[in-house]
Amino acid sequence: MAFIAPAVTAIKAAAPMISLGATVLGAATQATGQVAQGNTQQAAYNFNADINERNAQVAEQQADQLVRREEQKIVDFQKDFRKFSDAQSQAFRYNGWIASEGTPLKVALASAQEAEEEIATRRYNAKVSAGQLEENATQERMQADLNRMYGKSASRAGKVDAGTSLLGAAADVARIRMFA
Amino acid sequence: MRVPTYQSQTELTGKISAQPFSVRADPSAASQTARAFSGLGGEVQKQGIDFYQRLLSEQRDTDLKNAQIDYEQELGNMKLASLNASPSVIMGKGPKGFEAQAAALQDTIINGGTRNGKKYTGISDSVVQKRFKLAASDAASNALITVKQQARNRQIDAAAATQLRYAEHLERQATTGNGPDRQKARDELFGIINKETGKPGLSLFAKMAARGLISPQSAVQLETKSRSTIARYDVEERLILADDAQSTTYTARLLEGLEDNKQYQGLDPLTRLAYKQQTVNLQQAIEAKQISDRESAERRSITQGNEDRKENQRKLLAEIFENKNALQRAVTAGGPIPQAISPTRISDDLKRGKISLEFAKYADNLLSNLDAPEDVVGVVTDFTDRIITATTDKQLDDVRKSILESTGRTGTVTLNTAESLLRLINGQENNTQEALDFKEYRRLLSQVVAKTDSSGFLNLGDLDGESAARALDAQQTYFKLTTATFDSKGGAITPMAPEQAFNQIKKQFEQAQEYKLPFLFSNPTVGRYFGYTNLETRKAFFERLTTEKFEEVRRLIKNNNAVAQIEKPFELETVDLLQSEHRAFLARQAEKAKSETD
Repeated sequence: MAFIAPAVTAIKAAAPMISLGATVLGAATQATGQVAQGNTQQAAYNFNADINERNAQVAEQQADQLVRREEQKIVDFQKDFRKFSDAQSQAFRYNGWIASEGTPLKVALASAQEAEEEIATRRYNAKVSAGQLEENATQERMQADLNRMYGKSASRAGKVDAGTSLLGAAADVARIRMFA
Repeated sequence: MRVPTYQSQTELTGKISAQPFSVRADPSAASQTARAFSGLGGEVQKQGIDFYQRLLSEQRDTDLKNAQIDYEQELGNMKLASLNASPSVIMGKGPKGFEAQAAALQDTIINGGTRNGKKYTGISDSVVQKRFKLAASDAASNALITVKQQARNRQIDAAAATQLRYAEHLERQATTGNGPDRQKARDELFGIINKETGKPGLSLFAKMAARGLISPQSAVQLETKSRSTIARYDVEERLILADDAQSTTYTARLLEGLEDNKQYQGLDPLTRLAYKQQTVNLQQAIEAKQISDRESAERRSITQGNEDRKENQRKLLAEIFENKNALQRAVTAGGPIPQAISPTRISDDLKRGKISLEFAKYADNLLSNLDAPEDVVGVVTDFTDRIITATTDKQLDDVRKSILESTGRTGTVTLNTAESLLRLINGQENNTQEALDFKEYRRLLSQVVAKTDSSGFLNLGDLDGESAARALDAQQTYFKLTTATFDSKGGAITPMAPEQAFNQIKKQFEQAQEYKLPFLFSNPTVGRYFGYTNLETRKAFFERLTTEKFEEVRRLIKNNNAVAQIEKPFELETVDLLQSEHRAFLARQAEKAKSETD
């Protein structure tokens, strides 16, 4: 057991260097962790940006579909109105009226005017709704841009934090060596 | 007829297949592992830094403390050594100076090396080096201040000590020197008084203060103390003189001076008061001693007178008895008659105080043969008791006076017995072996014949008449046997040794006790002549005796040369007493027979 005392002495003598090594290792680990944290956060932000991009495309498709559907509805309306107009003319004629002149004409024209207004309103409403969806798409794209920017920032922050940690550790060691 | 047409039923859907995704990646959650990893690294770094700081700090502290201890220890040694070194060398800038030595020590401890046999490993850490230098400079500066202060103080102390010794010399000179020397010493101590202004110049102590050897306050205190010392020396010298001379005149003069506040001005009131008390005490002691000496001289004179008188009385008594002896021898042998001592001489000696009045009367009685009819046994025994129990000369003197007063025609003590008693007193006074033996066997005899009290006196109170008479006879016989130098007819005889007398009387007493006789029955002479035996009763013994037998025994005793001269009177006296007792016995027997007949 005579080796214990010299071993204890040697450990005591080496203890500052061991703790210094632990400090360096810790600092390196912390820096690596901070870089990894930045990268991971960037990846997450990029993922979110991709989601935003896709959502923007979805909103654009929805706007396009909305317009298509409304045009389809207008075509259907026009079909319905033609049927109505025919029925109206038929009614006038049945009642002995000449459908293409006088009051029946005026009424037909007024109805046609109403139909035109109806189609214009429908197209306006569809355009407004499509515009809202396109606005959504734009917002999603902007969010995607922001997320990518956040990702880059997080990556840079990780590197900067790593540098800060390494510099801090070095400064601490230097301070301790100078003032401890 | 209305023609049916096909109308499509399904409207175009407003929906699309794609839906906006609500899924969001949480960057914070996504980076947890990395953050944890970073946190771990941070903690490791923190702990490492903390440990490193502590360990390094401790190591540096230890190194610094060790170096400081080494430095201060060695510095302490240097400080100690500096006390024995020359102040100028220590305070100097040379290599032996304290400052240079401290710097060299500092270098050795920092760079390593050996100094005064001790090895120093040096300090490798530059921070510790700096700190040590700072601490060492601090310690060295403090030590240097102390060393310089001590060196300076030693210089000052040496100079001050010389001056103070000189001041003490001047103080003694101011008290014991002659007139001019005293004044010179005072001038030097307290400054010369300016004749014009009347103010004193600078004192020795003020000069010392001016030189920085003592503080001005100490100068004032020392000057006051010096004045006090001189005044004290002066007073004490006078006290010693008065004591040596045993003179109350000196003490009175000193007391007068102490009463006057203008004299002995250096004395503070308490010391002045103490000296006054001391002087008064001395005066009283001198007066008391003078009175005591006078009384002592008087006592010595009286004692001497008494001693002289006793000596004169002894000589005169011896002379009277010698004269009487010579007269007896002349009468017996028919030689020339010596000249008798004249009564005029007695009266002359009395007038000159050479003898006491009582002794003069006794001597006169001796010369005139005016003697008492017989000794009163009780009185003689009482005197003997008082003599042997006396512890002071005065007690013996009192007994002597009483004995002398008890002589004469109407006295209770015969002249011869008085002489024996006086001789016994002389023996007691001179503590002679005979006196000691007499005392010892007298005490033993008292214990044999009767009870004695704690003082050694005979206690006869508890005895019947016969026993008391026997005890007194034993005491009287002992006294006569051991002290008598003359027989009843004035013939010179030699006293018996106390031990022999004691043994003889003891036997006689025991026999007398057996026969119930109120006196001692002498043995062996009288007993042999009367032919008694121990087995015989008192009645048988007395019935055998006749008047003729008594006469025959008296004749036999007188003619028996084997009986000592000193014993013969006692033996004859015993025969007389025995015959008297025999007559009483016969009378009682006759009375008894008559009463039986009636």
